[in-house]
Amino acid sequence: MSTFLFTILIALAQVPDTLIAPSTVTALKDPITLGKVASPVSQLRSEALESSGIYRPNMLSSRVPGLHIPDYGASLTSTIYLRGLGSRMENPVLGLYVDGFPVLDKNAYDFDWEGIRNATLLRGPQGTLYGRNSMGGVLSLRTLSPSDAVRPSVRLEYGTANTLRLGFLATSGENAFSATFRHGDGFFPNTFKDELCDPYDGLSLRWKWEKPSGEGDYLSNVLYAGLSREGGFAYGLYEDGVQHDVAYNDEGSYARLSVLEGFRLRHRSEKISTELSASLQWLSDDMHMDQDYTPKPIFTLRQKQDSGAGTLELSFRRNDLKAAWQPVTGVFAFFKLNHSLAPVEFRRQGIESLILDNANRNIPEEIGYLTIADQEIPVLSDFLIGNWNAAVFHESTLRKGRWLFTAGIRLDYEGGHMDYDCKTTLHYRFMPYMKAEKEYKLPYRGSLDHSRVVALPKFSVLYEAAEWLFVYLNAARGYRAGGFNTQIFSDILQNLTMNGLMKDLGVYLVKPFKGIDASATEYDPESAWNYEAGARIRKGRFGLESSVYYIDVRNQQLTTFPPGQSIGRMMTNAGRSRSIGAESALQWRGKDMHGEVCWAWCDARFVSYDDGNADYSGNHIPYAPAHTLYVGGGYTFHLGEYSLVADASLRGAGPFWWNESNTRKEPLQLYLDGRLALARGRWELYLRGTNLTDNGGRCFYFKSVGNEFFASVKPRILITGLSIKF
Amino acid sequence: MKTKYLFIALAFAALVGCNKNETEEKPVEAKAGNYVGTFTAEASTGTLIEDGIRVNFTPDEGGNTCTLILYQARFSPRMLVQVDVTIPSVNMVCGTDKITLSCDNVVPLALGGEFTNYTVKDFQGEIKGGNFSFSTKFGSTPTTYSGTLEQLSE
Repeated sequence: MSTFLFTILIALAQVPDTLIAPSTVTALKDPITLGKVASPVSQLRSEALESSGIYRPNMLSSRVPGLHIPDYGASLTSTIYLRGLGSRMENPVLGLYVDGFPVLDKNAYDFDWEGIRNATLLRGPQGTLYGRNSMGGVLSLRTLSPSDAVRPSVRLEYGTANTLRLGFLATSGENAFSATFRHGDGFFPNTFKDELCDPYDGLSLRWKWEKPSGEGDYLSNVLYAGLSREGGFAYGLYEDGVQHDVAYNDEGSYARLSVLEGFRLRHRSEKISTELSASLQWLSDDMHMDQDYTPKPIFTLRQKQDSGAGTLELSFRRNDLKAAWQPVTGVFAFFKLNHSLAPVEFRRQGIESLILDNANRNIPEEIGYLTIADQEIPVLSDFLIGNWNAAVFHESTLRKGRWLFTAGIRLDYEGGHMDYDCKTTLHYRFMPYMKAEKEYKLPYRGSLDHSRVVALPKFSVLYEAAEWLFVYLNAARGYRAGGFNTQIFSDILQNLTMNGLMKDLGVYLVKPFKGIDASATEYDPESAWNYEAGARIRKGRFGLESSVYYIDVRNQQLTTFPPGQSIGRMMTNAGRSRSIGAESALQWRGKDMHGEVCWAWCDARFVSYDDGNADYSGNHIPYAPAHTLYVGGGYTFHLGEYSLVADASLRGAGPFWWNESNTRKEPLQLYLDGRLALARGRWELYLRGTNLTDNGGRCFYFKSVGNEFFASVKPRILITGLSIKF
Repeated sequence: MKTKYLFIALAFAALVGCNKNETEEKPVEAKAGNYVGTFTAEASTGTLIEDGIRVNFTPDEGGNTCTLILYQARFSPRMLVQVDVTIPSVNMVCGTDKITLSCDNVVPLALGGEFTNYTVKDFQGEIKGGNFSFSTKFGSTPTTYSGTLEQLSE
């Protein structure tokens, strides 16, 4: 009997990750089941997530076709690329929902989880139902509910870099709790400081309460909190073809507290179900960065944010799920207020190289030269940014025999306001004329506003060619919100300071320092039309999902650097670009064997982009990989009361082009992962490894003050773990 | 009778003489103002001619001297910067139809201090009928200026 039960449990554990049973899985917001959504869908259930060691969103890279979330920097640098869309800053192209609540702040996207029921990613624009920042898709994470009645469990892992991870999960009556803690010493040494630069400590807590109330009514409340402190920014200088180690002198750290409190009420009347969901979100973080990433005391950046937001959504749908017409209608709104302090501090060498050298280069020697007495010059910036959004949406699905027609529209209004208050003070002396230093102060204050109304339509048709075969066409529009790029203020102030200082002196450069003012920090929304054709097959143990797409992007948001030896990043709207691609996910499940292949190809290029310095039309979009690949499989050996599971996978992405000019390119990099697990009853002992061949590679590139830097992929990591279900 | 007519004639002559003095000897009032015109510098590296150069004229208290500020001036075609140059203590004489300016070996002020390399030598200038012109040497560079009144200072 026990052997039989063990066999059943192990078989269930080997359920293929992304095979979706249409009759059992409820769609996210769509009025139909996932199996009949006319978009490619990837779903990984809890067993697959646990066995693969996936506990953060960026670990889904390549496992979902086309998804690339490089692991670099710190938790706030969670850059997401999907189908050639994405950028390193500001608003993401992938919406993130946790238990149906949208996570508004991208700085909260990278977090550890425990007790996830499934991770579902709908690819392609989902703007009609999900609104802003879902231009590439939506990732929905569903946590385990009290009704799942899972056994309490604990997990203990230990491995490379002194990595310790603890997890706890329990349900009790109407409550579900989970907690996870992770510590790591870090992987990358800072050779200047002789210490590891990327240690990590983080704690996540979750409480979920659910109560069915009356016939068809439902109440739930969720509370998540995450607290972490880490190093990061493991960037090494690349110079004359030589990759140097990470070496910088100033602090690099990131601390974050994030909280999400969400409430949901679902009421079922005779014909209509009404759902009200509301959330309050809070994020406080504090980042310190050696902005030059060298051992020289040039300049540093700190960014301290406090951000609060509230969301509210009311939707209506039909109770009769068998009816041919399935509508969903709703309204959505949010308000977010962010206060951030972003002081930049120029150290002595930065004063000399970034300010004095630039100034004196343009002043003839016979006239004189500028000196600054300060050892440090702080450039203080205080921002208060408010964002608000209101939307109304409707989507209808009509079934006609084997045909399923879907049409929807969302009208989305978004506004924003920014107050900025920046200032700097320095003490200068122009030689040989001035007898003493003179104080120069620069205040720079003002405000900016913007507002947009965006229409997000969607059309699709799905045909059930056979019980096991669906084909579909869809066309949908998505958008990524605009905003204010605060990081460029350091560059604005640098130029204002130089021009102001020269004017204070009564010196006017024939070619004054080029600069931009605060109005240039505002960037427009990016929008895209996605046209796609796909097919979905489920037959017995075999599942296949494939699609081809074309995306037309307008006003693409790109991260660039102002010309010259600049220190700030800026967001620009780059004309037009397009993506052509194909994605495919194949799964096979045998009695004791399973296999999976996930592949994506994307050719993403600028159609027209001239930034005033060069024309990049026809070039590849930077940072977006041309391919993602995942090939995995496993086998279960039955050894009496024990089972031994062996899994192995190959994953990777590339090539990448690191800049708009495509002069820097990274080839396709593949990494081998594996897992051995010995299970008996309620416990499982396992050994998991990532990048088993210790394949080096680079996952990030940027330039700062004229220098080039790369971040390396993490080395081989071996983890041993024990999981016990009580 | 003749004495009476003599007194009347003398009184008339005195009256006419007084009126004539008041009309002919009243000096031009020196008022501060900005002038915009053309500045020419004959440098060793070539001739520089720049239009739109603003010069501020401000009389000092006391009425015998004035201060000139030459804005965004360059002194050679190869000079990559323009500077504001202040010439203090320029001698000023208000004539009946013009103001005459002069000075020699005056160290101008610029860049926060004394601009000794461009000591003003043999400055000769005049303001007449809303026009301002001068010639001088800044250091070893002969220069001339001709401009018209841009606005009246309060």
